[in-house]
Amino acid sequence: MASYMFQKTITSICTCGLQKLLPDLFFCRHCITLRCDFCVSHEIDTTYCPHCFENLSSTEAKHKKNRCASCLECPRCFNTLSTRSYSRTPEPKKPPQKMYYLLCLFCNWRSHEPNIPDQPTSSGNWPVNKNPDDGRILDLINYYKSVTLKEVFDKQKRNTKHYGRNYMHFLEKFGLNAMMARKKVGFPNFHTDGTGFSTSEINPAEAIENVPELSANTFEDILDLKQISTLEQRFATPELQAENTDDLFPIRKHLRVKHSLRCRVCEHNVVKPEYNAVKFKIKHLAYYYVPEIKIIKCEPLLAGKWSSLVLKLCNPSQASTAVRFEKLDLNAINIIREPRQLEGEDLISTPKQLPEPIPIVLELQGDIIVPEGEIKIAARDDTAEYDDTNEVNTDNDDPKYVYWRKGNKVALKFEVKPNENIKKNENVQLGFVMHFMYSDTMLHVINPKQPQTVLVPIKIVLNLPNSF
Amino acid sequence: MKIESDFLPEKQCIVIDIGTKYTKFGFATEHSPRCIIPTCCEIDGTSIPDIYKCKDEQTLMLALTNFIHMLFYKYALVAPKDKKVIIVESLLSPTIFKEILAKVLFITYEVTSLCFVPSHCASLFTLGISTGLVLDVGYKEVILIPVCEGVPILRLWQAMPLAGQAVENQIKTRIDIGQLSDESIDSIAEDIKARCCFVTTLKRSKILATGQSVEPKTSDVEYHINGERSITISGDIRETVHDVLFEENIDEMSITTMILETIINSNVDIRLKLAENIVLIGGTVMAKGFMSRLKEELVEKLKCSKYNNLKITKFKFHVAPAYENYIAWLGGSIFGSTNNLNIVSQTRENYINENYVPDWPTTFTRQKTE
Repeated sequence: MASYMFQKTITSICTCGLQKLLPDLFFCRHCITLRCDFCVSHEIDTTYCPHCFENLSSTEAKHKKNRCASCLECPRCFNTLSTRSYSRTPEPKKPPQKMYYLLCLFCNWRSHEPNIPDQPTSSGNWPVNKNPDDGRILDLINYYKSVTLKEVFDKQKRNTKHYGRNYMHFLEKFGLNAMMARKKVGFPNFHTDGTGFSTSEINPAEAIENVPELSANTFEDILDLKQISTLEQRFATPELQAENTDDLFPIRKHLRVKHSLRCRVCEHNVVKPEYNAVKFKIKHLAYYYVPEIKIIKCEPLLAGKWSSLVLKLCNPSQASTAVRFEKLDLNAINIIREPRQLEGEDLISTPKQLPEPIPIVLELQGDIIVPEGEIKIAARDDTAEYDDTNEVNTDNDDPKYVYWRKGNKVALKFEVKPNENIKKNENVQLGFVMHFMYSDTMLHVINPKQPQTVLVPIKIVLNLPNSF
Repeated sequence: MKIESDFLPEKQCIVIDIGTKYTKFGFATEHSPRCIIPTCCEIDGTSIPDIYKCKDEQTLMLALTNFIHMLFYKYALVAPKDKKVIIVESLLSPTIFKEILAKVLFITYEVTSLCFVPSHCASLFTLGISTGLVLDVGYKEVILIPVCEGVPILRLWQAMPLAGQAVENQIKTRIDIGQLSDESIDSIAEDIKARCCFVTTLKRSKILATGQSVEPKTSDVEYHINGERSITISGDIRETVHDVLFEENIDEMSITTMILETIINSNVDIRLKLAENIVLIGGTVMAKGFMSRLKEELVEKLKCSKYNNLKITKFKFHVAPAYENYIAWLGGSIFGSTNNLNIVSQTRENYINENYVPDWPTTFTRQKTE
């Protein structure tokens, strides 16, 4: 079923120029245009652990280095570890004590392997390992910090003129001391004359001449590949990079984020998840607004011959819509589409520079005849399924184009003609533009008007298989 | 609760070292990268194994956009908007790559400021020294740039395609891995290189090159592929695959002669200092025995007539307080902790006005960020 969703037979071209499937697209209700993953800006909404689903605030997550405090991963196979317990009686007369250790249920790794002592609590203060050279790196950081501060100070000293007198008494007189103190916050603590400022000392690293040699038993020892960690296992903890699998320590689970998406042009939210639930506050997916197109019948495609193609359109929205078709003009395909606005909507200036749209490169391998005129599609009605009468008004339909009609679905007849030089077993790429009527149902605070309708053009690319 | 300086949101600065094979990623002032991940991404379901190989500007931009997106939203878990970014890059990385990266970060992700730090200079921050001969043995190529008092001597740069990839190609030609897809062969070759192989001594390598056997003989290894087949990797192959790095080509160039050529072309006054301050960075130097072999080769090569008048008797190597594969990143992290970052990075306003990324040696378009 999933593969059916990912088949790239019918794709739509997003406003930014990428070809996407309809379920991957969003619909910005303010710009009235399609947006995709690539052309919206992503924001981080909440941080959570993928195993225990605990939500963490961004500061908390930052403090914990984006790792969950309670969930641990197997360092060998990266599955979640489970905590196991056993009882032991340390002394005969005392009550038995429960001890906990970690076990990977997938690869049977135990926390005994790297000699982690068993813990008396289930949450367990599992030890955190550090780079043995942490102190040295800290020294280096402090040293370079002080070096740059000295540079800044020297520059300041050069720029300030030296007055011969001390104005300190003025400061107190006019109450400037407090102001100065506030100003000074955040500045390095220099002495006013620069004396006494010294950079912290550091011993530069000593190069060694006696480099470590290969140990004598490197050659003859039989290599047990099970004992040697893979690069993936080493890189999971960059500061340790243990080569022996016995030295691998459990890894804290990396957190994940829920994104909220925002249109880059109008800065309105397109998708916003709800806190602590698998739900959305805002979800303007194209799937809820744009009529979905499916192929229901396609005659065998022959080079240079017309054959009929039946597409089914399904209106997902609660308002009725109408569609109009147009041929795809390859010459005008890359004209930049300005964001449109509804009447009464505030004009949003775009002061910032937006990413350039991606030029569309498209080659069509055939001709298509699209239905003429406007074709109405009824609104989605969940109760229509239970309605036996199911009356649909088909009087206004041109039977040349409308195949059948039912509820919010309509089947339309197209004619396609692949090019003469089309090769066998090669997909035939065809395109057309579908304009659909979008009725704006948003409540406008400033200008409460009747719902407006706008025609939204969407470029559709068909990729018809030609394997007969 | 302990409140650290990096607790404050404005202090956060992101350090990225995009390597040919692996990308190191983390926050400035931290002591190790948060993650080391393969430099690859997906565009519309098709994976791009090597971003540097994207020739077409459009593909490169899409690839970098997707890659940076993954870094920020999967690993850093911060929105890139209004963050400072440091890119640790090799001085020889292509300009187009740099320009597109700046465009993606400034325009698509709206970072406040961006700073490109040359990896060779940054590596010296981890040692507290200012002069050294920095040899970066990465995946695609080995790049040598001497740094004198914090300034890279670009006149003396040397680069050769003798690095991890050359070793992997040796493995692929000498071991029959079998009929598999290209990606899985690559990953198997990498795995064999990392887990089974080491760099043998010069003496043994010379004997093995003549086809004789050597005592003690290196043990063979049974290697399992996908849990289905097993192949035997002979001991000779295990110890000699890295020899390709030290073999001279028709121009008599290898890693060894690269170092010696640089020293011989440099100013007389810094020759000794360079020879006694060799810094090895990059993932390939982590192979067992690499450093001792390099030293043996250097000492051996000194005896030849070309380098005889160098008056150098010994070579000294530095050992950084971190693993070699993220030394350049750590240098960037130390750099990011200092005040200098605000002075030398380019701001977003500046980029939008100028529409131009300053080349590394020029700083005149840069304005101070507050």
